[in-house]
Amino acid sequence: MQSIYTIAKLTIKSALRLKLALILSALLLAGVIGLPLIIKHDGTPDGFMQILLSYTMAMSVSLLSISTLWIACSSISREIDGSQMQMVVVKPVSRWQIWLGKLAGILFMNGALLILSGAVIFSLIQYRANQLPDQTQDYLRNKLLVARGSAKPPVPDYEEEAQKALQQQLDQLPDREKATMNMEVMAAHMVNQIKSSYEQALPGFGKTWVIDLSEAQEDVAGRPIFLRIKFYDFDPKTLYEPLNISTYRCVWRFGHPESPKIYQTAMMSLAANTYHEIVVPPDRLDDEGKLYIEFYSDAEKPLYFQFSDGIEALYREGGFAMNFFRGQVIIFLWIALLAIIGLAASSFLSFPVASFVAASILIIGFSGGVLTDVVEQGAALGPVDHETGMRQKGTLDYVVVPFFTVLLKMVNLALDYNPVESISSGRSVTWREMFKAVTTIGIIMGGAISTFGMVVFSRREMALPQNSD
Amino acid sequence: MDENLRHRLYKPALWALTIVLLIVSSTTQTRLNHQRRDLGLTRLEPLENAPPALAFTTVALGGFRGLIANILWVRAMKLQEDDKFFEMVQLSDWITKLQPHFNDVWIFQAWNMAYNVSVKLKDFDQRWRWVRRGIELLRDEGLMYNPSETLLFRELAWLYQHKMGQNMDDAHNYYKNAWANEMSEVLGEEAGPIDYDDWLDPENELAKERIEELKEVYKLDFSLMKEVDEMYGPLEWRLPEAHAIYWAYKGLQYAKREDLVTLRRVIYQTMELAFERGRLIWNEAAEVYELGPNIEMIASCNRAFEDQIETEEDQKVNIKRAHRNFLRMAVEQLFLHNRETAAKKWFDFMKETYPEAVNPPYLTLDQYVVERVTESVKDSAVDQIKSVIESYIGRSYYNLAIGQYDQAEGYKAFAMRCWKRHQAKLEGIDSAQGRVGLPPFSRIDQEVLNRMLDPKQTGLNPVSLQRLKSELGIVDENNPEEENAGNREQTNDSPDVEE
Repeated sequence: MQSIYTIAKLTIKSALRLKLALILSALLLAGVIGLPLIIKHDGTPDGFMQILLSYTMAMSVSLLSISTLWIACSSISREIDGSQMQMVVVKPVSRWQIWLGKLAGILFMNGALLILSGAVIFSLIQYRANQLPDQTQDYLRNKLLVARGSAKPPVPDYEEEAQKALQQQLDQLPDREKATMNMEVMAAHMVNQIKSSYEQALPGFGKTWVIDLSEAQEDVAGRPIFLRIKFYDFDPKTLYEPLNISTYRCVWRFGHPESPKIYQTAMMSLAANTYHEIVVPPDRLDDEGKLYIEFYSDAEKPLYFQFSDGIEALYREGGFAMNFFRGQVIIFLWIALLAIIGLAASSFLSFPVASFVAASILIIGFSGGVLTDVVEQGAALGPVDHETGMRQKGTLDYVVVPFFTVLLKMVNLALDYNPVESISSGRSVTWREMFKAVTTIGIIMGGAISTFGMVVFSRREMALPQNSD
Repeated sequence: MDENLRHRLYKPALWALTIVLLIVSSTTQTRLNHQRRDLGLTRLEPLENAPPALAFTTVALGGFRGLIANILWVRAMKLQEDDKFFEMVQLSDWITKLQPHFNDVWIFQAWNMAYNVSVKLKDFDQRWRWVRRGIELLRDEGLMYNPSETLLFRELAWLYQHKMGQNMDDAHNYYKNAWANEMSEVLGEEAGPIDYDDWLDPENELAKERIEELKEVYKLDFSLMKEVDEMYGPLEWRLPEAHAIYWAYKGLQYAKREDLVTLRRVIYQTMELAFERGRLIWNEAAEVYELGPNIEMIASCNRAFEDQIETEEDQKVNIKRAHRNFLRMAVEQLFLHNRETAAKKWFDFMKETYPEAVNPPYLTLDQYVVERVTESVKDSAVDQIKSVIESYIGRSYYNLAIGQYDQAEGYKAFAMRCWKRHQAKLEGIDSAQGRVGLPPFSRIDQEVLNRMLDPKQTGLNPVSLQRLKSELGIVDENNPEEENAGNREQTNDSPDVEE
């Protein structure tokens, strides 16, 4: 342990000698303080807070990620190139201890910088929020500077229902007719039909949902709930002009239908295919902690509230400070993973190659959208079908797509936990999520790559002639 | 020289040299830019009016500007798909600044904010914010970097004319009111045309400040506003139509031959709109602006049509048809505004220009207007004709409640004419009088008034209702102290006609 501690201390000293920590601190502080002065926002307080949070956090993550990769890639490979490592490995310290010591040093330094930038961001947000009028502050502290939990209406077992309905239909058909049918298509069609019947709000009729918030009853008492909704009109014109969106006039009612405390919104003009957040005034749950929601519109065609994103109640689950802290822990895990990747690469590669490999991994990490598109379309290199706008499968895609699928799975393992996104939209980063990230990113991924790095470093031949110019 | 001294002077000397070189290069830069343009050495115009950060970025990034703009564009589209708009202003700013001479980028970003983003928001004030952003992007920045790009002028005029002026968006009234309120702060509370003589009086300090604000904030050149008003006005500058005409007219100064028609069309179409609803009426009770026809614009609008017929040879038939419809509407509106002399003048002009517009040709002005309004009503449909009469009486009382006295009188008189026309047809047919005859005009009038005064049935808000009572000298039983014989001179609300 003493050896690891000593190596870590030496790594930190070396970084301090290079003034790296100082430069990074200055950059982080300049960025965090300077960004709000130059960024343009949509003119709303929540828009400003959102952009402030996402840009400052993203900037500190980017700076720390790049510097971490650079330090990690250079720390072992350059010391080997400069023949300094050879002097260390002959000391009574094992190679895995050297490796871990280096990692500990880098993590300690980055941890300190992350705490510094996090503290500045947090203080800045609080300071900016306190400058706003009380009413706006209240709104922000309920919507954005908060940890909001989420609840959705229960999803009925439409698949089972579809199966029964299909069976009923089939029972009425003669066997020879059944034999000619494609059962898979029939089943899928039936599932869609039943699912749609639950999701649609028919013209002239209202639609009702009930969300069970009994477990959050104490959290929401005296506080507003935000209803996040999205409906689709499946207007054929949006197939060709996706930006051409229709609006519908709607009214919402919240509260038990027999309750005197029912609240009805004014007439709203809501766009289809778009998320909207509607404020439900405090104390609209019934005695059992259920929120009744009714929807009416003047649409002349059905509107669809899909199970996945149609209706979601967002309620206060905790404060901003702890949420921010948990987010910072996950960010630290990302940076730790990068440090491990950089160190592992520099354990067997020269500095330029290690940097290239690590930077490529970083770029792949940022290219999650491209990977997802390729995997979803099942093609990356084939020609585009101009009729459908979809890419056709090329020969190389038989290799590329499976490779991208694996890559995407690995990237998602780390990036599925996106605290920047959650914190800047006021959503909870739960303890459960945090511990899951510790397990997945810190223990499983970090452990595997570290083991690989330590094994490779332990087996590396140090006595080879080095390029020491 | 002493080695030490030389060493000490070396760095300051380098700094001094750097400064001198920078000064020299900056003085030659303008000449070099001219030469670049004259000799055709570059496809891109040197960036003008750019802040230092932008000037540096555009030069330093070189060919990578396009690449970065693409990445930002992809991010903007992705965020828009996810309905996250808080970054949109920043991203649009970066994208346009990276490609400041690429018209389509400015046009798309402005259109996207004004149309696509705005409509996705549920609150009208937020929608308005995005519409304004779109306008500001083109007006304050796009045109600053590309001061002679007609496409940008056309697009800006379109945003005023279509997005704010038309009624395609549920929030269009909010936009118009917000714009009218904003412009009223610069132009003054009193709605109506600008008194240019007063504004240009050198002793009018307030006007000087206002002219400066128009220039600085809204990029409006006051002398050009005057020119536009003289040519196409009198315009109501608190309404978007005036601005649409202004920007299209300004674009005409830079337009190439092929762009002329498009810009002129924007002007002509907008003028028609400005006539139809180019007058602001302040509804004090509801504290909102309402729109009415700007009948003062009839002459200039007519001139615009005549010009258009002359300049657009291939569209002559369509434009003539639109001109004829405009004249019909002009006659009708003048008549309903109690301007019978002017209505007669335009009626004669219409008959002379488009004889087929008055059918049968012997109709008098009076008969013509009543005919036009009731043309969809069958002679025997007494209920329908009664509804028409009731609606005009209703409009008359509504205008009275919001202080539009001329219109109030015009509508009441017109309702009476409709009544008389119907009854005249039944003259001498005793059996028909009972079956399809109308009740006496005074009774219909009273029925409508009773409905309007009934708090359960009235469409008026309480303040307007009170004002109507006050105008009619009706004592409010709940509030007898507010008895008022009327805020204006007594007018002949129920024309003295034999019924």
